[in-house]
Amino acid sequence: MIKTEKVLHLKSSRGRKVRVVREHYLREHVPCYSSLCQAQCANEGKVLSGEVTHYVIPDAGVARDFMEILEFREIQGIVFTQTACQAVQHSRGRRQYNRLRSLLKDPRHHCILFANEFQEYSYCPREKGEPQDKWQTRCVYHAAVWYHDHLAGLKPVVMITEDQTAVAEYSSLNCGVYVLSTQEYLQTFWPELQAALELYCSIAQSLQERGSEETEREYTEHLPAEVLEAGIKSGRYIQAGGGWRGHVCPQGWVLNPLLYTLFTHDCMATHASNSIIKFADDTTVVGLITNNDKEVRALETAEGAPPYPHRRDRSGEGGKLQVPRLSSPPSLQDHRVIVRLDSWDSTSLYPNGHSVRVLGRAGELETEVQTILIENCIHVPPFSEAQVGYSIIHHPHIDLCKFESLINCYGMSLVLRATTYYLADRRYDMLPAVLSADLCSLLGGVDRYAMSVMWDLDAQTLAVNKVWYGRTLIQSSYQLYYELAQALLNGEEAEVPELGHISKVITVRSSYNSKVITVRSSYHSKIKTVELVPDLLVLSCQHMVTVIKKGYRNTLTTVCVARYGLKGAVYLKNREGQVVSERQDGGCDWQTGSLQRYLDHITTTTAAGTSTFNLFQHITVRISVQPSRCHSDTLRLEVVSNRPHQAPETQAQTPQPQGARGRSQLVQEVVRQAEEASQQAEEKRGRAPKLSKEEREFRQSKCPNLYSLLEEVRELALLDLAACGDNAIVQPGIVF
Amino acid sequence: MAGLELLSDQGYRLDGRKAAELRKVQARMGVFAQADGSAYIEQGNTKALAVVYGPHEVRGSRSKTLHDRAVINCQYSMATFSTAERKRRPHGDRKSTEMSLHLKQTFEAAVLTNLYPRSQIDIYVKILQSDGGNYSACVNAATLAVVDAGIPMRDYVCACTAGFVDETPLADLCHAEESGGGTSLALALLPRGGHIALLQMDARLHQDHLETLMEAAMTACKGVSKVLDEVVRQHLQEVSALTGE
Repeated sequence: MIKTEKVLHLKSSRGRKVRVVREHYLREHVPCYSSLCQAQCANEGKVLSGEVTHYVIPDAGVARDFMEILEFREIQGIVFTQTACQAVQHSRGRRQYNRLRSLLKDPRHHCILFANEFQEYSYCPREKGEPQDKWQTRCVYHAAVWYHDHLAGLKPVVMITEDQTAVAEYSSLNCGVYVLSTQEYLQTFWPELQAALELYCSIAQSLQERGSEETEREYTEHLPAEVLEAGIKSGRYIQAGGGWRGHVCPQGWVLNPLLYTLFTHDCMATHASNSIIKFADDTTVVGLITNNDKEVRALETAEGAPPYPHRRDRSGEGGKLQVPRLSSPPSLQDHRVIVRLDSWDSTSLYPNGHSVRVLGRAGELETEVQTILIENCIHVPPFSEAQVGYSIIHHPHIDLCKFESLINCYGMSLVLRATTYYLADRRYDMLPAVLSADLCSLLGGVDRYAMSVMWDLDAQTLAVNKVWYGRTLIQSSYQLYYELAQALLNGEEAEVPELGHISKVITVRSSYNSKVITVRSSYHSKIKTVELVPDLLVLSCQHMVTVIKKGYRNTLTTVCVARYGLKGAVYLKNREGQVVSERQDGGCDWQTGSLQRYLDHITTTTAAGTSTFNLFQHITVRISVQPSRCHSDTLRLEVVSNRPHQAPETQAQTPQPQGARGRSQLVQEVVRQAEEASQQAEEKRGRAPKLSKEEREFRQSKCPNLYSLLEEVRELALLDLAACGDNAIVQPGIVF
Repeated sequence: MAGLELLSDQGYRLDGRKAAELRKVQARMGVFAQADGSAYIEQGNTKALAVVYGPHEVRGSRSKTLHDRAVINCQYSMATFSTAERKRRPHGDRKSTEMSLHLKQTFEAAVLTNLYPRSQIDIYVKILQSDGGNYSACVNAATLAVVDAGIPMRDYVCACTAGFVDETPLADLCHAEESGGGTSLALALLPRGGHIALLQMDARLHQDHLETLMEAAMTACKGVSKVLDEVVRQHLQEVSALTGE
């Protein structure tokens, strides 16, 4: 390694300029990351293939300003020099630099980083008095020459730069190394990539305008507030918009599509995108005085002009994004355009930007569809040939359960596209059509791997007896199609062989429970429900439950679902004041009425009659999953019937009336649990560590304290005294 | 600057070294004829000059005399022109005192003081240019100076710094890497036996990384010891050639 030095001029923390000397070590063996390397460089990781027609090396200026063009995947064989990357880092900031780094790491983009400044023979020390951009161009050129020689001339190398003098100077120095401007390069080497050329033009134009804007300023800036105050006091300036009355009618004329003059009677622009600079009589607006929500303007009038008017409250327009000033040709008038913002001058009302892509005329179907996709950040590039081909060759029976093999097959693109998008007229699949329509799809009569959920339904009541999740091999006997599924869902008559009446009944019972289940990966044994397309697969089950305890609140009851060991709350009265009432056939629905609570039962009274829910009674509830945006999914229990659910599963024991047996069993279980709980509580109390002396001394409240007293009072208040009778000593119960 | 990238994705540091590479070390012994021993070392852009006087009778207060071994007296200072901005107070500030104390502790561990009871050995070190790794350069220079003075030591004392960026330990930090606020570990080692004479760390480091970092620092110190050894042998050759032996 050779040690040299480089001199930098930096700003110290106090703001003073400091001349810093840093070491710079040069070495001979810097890997070139090209597959055509003749010198056995240690090329690890991403390597440029030799199948491109040329390698392109962008200059620092091109990397800084036209990075978006280099992000096109069609442009392959890009060699970023260290000089260009550092230029991006120092001028554009961390965000752009991180974008460049992710580009370099992304295997889908064909670009690498070459550390030209650490290579002994491609490093150019800066000469005295050389401006920075010239030096950077020189560095990049020498890197290009070194790269070309390192590959022994096997591949022509093209350097692109915006500096025309550099193009002239370097283009004929070395054969095999070509120097072009970006536009020439795009036109010569990528003539079919129209989008890149358009993007280049729009960026170049916006750069030009920004450059020219900064040089000429037609109107002077607004004066600072102190000057305005002084001027108003001295009479030099007139404050308008705050107490003057005038009666001049607006008149004016249009100078060009973006500039017009208007006489206004109140010195106010009615829209935020307009700004008044000067009036017809050369009265100039020199500054703005904001007085909380009322904006007034200070004006400097020409000699002898009458003062202007009118107080007007000005409420803010409220955060609308102003359309950035584009170099908009009038042809973009009714089009939808994707625009990227470049900068926002502090003096300007709108940001500066350039158009990236024109989507089409506004109002056309295709344009609007694209707009919606982009608004929701959905990118659906077509699958590359390689991905489709690879999948067919290597995985003839794609096992969707093997998630990781899919990841290896598709890489990042699968991760980014882990869902299928259904639009009104089209569908963007998450896997190539070959897979999603054929290999991974359950076609009729063909064997397929699948992740399955098996429900064991009872033939009569269609209750779910058993649920099983696992990997299976399926040969589907019938393939459902969307229209049929939709018809079934709508409750229309539809013939589905084999499924028959099950489909109809299930759809009626669970109209709003229809969800499609997708399994995320074989690692997660949980099933996650995703609402995508209402489909025939439903998850709804009814179980025998038991009312075990009553809570304090009037509106709900705690139930225990013995089968699953679930204990939850069931509402008997909803927010609108309706109560659950029993129908003739045993089902329940919501009707207006009232509800009374007693010690051991709850009665609901409606116009149709009275129904009673006793303690330890068996009722039927429906369990469903309630998703929520902000919280985790919850289980919801709803009363379906006042009668016990006839679970057909009978043990091979004496067929006793199930209700009674179940009830007594349940009573025993509850009693036992209560005993256990009290026992554990006692043990815990015995085991509880004694409070230390300090804790005892400084403990805030001792039991019994006011809080517990008030709690008892509250519980007493909630109790229904009418049903208690005389001297009822009520103990606060336990709510699960 | 939009933030310094101490370790690039390709494994290069700010100055082009890889993570485990040391800076260029150049040293000369016997630069001052008037002192008993002297040495000058350049570690990268850090330049240190060490001068040793002794062993001699205890000067100043006799109470400092130790009956069975020598007293080592170190003084560390930086030249006013050593940093990018002129240093106001080269001697006597807290940093210098602390460094002097560290140097004293380091050399008391290495020098065979038992051979010189009731005497004093002075080691003066001055930093002429500071670019990270001040303490390490001082220790290395002082080692060479002590060798030049002919005072017997158990082993060379070699010192080096190490840092930790992106799960990778960096050896021999320069000023930009040190001042970034990241971890910086200074290690003084007697390489043959692997004995640590001094270990000092700035900033926080997760416990799990300490092992790796110390390993890296030890490897770096051993690399430095090879260089110092080379310098000593070369100096001996020159001296013996001059004296015609």
